[in-house]
Amino acid sequence: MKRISCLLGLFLSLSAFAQSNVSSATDTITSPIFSKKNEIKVDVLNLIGNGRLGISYERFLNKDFSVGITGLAFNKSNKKEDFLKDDTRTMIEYQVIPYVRYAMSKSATNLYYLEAFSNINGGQYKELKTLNNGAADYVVVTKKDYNDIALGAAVGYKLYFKESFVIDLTVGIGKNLFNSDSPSTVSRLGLNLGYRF
Amino acid sequence: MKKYIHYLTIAIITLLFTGCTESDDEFFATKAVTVNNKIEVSASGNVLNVSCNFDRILNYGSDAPLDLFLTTTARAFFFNYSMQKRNASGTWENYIPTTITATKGDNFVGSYISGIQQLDALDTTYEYNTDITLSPGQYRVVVEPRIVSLDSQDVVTVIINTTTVGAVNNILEFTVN
Repeated sequence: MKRISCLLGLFLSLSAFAQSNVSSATDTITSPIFSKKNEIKVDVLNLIGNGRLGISYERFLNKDFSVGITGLAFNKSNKKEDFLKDDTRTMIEYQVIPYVRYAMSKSATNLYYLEAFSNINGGQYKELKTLNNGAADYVVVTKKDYNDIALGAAVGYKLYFKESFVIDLTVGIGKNLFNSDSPSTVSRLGLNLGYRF
Repeated sequence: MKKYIHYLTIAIITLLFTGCTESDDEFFATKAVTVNNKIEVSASGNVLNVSCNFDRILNYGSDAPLDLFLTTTARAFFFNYSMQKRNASGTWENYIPTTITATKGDNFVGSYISGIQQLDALDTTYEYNTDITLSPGQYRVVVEPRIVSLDSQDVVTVIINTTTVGAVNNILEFTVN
């Protein structure tokens, strides 16, 4: 929650900055950035904060719209070991996130955008299970696998350097639709560093 | 267009905050059962006796009893109670007893008393028995009728909802002469 609030604050600051710079000299529709249609990114926020490896690919359809896909894989062994003991109910192990983005500002070098995404996610959840040893019942915590699909929305901000390198901040949330054992919502948080070509 | 941007931004930020407050998934590994009359209080002379004893294999109305130790791995359970004494103007004031003797189990005494039921040497019964010696006056003991396993963070916590024998609505008023 604290992390989300900090990111939101950062995002709002960056958004304000983007708005104030919409008409700067470098922001022209003839910017060479527009001729580059592909972008790959690595999510440093999830990598450092959550031990999740996140890689994204984005394809620019025109000046306004782009489509992309993000893959996030969880790989932090100590968190997996603590899962049975901690007070979280679910642990997301993977996420595949196809998305569509609409650029809200026409600047080539810094812009913010709206995003609609789906999130195919899976992992583990905990539940109590009653066993019997022949004399009496006893209750244990067990973990089981889940898979689900979420739909959601996000806002984000992009800043380009040297017409190829990008910082991409995304904040959003989605709701899982099909499995009552999955997390009811999934966050869409990312601070990506990438390259456009 | 700018107007729509602002509307959409506000809507999404609202959605974000709503989502954060609603769905922080938490898991409480807790098994709650109800077994009446597991706590007893009685006053005799200048001594208040408080006791609480229950089997490790607890019958709670289900088809099979519940093994408390196997479920919680806890060698102790606890419940809380507090004492009040009526002052000269007739008002009940919180009272912290000074002479408190546990013959079985243990006590943690602060603004209220935590009575600790300990598993006996045979691993069959959780036991607690305490005598509180009081000076003359009017007293009231208020029992929280909920017995909870102690130190079972890594496994399942058991809560035994119960009632108190010797107290009306878990409150006993008595006078020490």
